[in-house]
Amino acid sequence: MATMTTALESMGKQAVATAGAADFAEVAGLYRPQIFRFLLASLRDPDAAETLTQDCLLKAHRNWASFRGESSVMTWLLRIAINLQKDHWRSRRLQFWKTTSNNSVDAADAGAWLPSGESSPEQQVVAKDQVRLVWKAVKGLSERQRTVFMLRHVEEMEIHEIAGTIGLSEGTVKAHLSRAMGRVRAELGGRR
Amino acid sequence: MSHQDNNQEIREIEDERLDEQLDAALKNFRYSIHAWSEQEMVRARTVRRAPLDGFWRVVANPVMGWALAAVLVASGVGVPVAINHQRQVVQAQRAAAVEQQKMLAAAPAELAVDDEDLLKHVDSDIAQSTPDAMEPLASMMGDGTSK
Repeated sequence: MATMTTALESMGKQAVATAGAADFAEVAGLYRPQIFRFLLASLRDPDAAETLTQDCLLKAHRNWASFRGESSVMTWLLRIAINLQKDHWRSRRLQFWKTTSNNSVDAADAGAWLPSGESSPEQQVVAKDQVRLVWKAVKGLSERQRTVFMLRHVEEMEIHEIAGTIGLSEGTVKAHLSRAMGRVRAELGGRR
Repeated sequence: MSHQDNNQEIREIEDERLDEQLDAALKNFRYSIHAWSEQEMVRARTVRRAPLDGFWRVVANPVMGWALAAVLVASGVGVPVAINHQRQVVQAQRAAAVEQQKMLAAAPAELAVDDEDLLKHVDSDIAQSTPDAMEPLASMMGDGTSK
């Protein structure tokens, strides 16, 4: 997975190098799965994740001409996605009476997804339980801790990349990550 | 090896085991999200129409748009004018009421003055004019008194 991310990133850098001439459709096709995955993991709502992914790419398309390549395309797109996600949570808080629009999947159900690997049924059960516990811990994290945790452990980004994406110092990112990991560790039965 | 060293070693082994467990859990978590995401990416979705879509579609119609704009302009101008007119009418009514109250307050004094004048006038009339039948008596009384 790390290899795939690195490959995507290198392709992103190539895209940055030729930002002026690059076809946005190609960039969107390249990064759409990653943006969708990040939003799905953050929101646990496939419909909302799909909508926000579209919004993110639309916003990126509108500002594509002004993208100067100071950061990688992925970092830039994730920054847009994070801002959209924040707006989404804010509007959800304001529209607390709109229960019908809440399609988020329960953490226990989200943990049921596992790739059909070669592992034994026992291992699958253990893995499902572990995933369920991690989801439970993630549910209790603050918005920022969750974002940092997802970028680090789902998107496998480096600390400096996360700091650049969220606009925080590396120290603050490490602090958020440490608190998040403490919760996950505690949920899995270990010490904080 | 001392008992303390043993404890330390056991703790280290336990920590290692927990770290391995954490790494495995995080790896499974990542795989789980990737699998879920891939599945959701290819799933067909039905697009729900937002409840306000119909309203905006109607507003987007040029004829309806112009009609709504006209209503907005008419109400934007008409309402302040109507309010202003209403305010003027109320002010005029209030002024008339105040004037009427002043007139009513002044009326009893004037009436009292008129009554006194009338009574004096009546007294003097009664005193001066004598009915014809009583004239001889009146003259006799006048003579008697003069004498």
